[in-house]
Amino acid sequence: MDLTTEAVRLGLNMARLRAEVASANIANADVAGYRAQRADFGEAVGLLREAQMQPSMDGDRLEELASVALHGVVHASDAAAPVSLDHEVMELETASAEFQSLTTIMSRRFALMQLAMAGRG
Amino acid sequence: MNVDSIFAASRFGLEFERLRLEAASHNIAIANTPGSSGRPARLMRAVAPHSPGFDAAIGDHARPELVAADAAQRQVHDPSDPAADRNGMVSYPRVDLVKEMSTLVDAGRAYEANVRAFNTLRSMALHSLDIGSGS
Repeated sequence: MDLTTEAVRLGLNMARLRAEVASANIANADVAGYRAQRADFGEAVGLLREAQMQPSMDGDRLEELASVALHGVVHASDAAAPVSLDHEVMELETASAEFQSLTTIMSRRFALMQLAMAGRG
Repeated sequence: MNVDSIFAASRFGLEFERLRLEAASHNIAIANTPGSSGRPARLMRAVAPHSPGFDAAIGDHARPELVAADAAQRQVHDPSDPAADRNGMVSYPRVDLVKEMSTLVDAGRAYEANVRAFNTLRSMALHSLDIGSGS
């Protein structure tokens, strides 16, 4: 696939992971000794930045790198702070807004491709 | 300032107001508990981290926190209290109840305002997706 599609796909996966982490935190909020989980997207964001900056990056390469960029990025936070529900719900909402934007962009893009193939509106 | 950092600002606001509420409730709760002689009671306060620039002060990595400070003492003469010292004085933390109660109400309102701001921003962001989708 081309570069933009792969970048959007990585973004979608990041938003999904964010929502997953927030849901897991909410589900376990009242478990004694539970420490809030956090996802660290440093690698994935670096990858996206690289895709933007470097002309050598193409879709296939990004797909290959993106498949490992989101492995093992979720870990328990160091601070023994309890889960704060409002924070997690907010994470969930932000992730959902992000996901919706990206899916809209993706469908617009595919509509454009379809238009190019069909040759008419 | 992009949309993400406005979301981060709202999130910071919510967390800060929650801590203010927590601090005020804590202070009210200990207002009438006698302190032991060696350890004075401690009053809580929510503080925002100091950093240059608005964006950095409320950004993703800034976290508000609670700090404790020694409370001023209020001495009451009550020899029958088990916590009384040699002279029959019991010390209570000096808590300004009017201030704490107004903080409580203020923080609650500000929390609601933050939620409203977040919802407005979210619906704006989602509405912007409808631009150009011919209806």
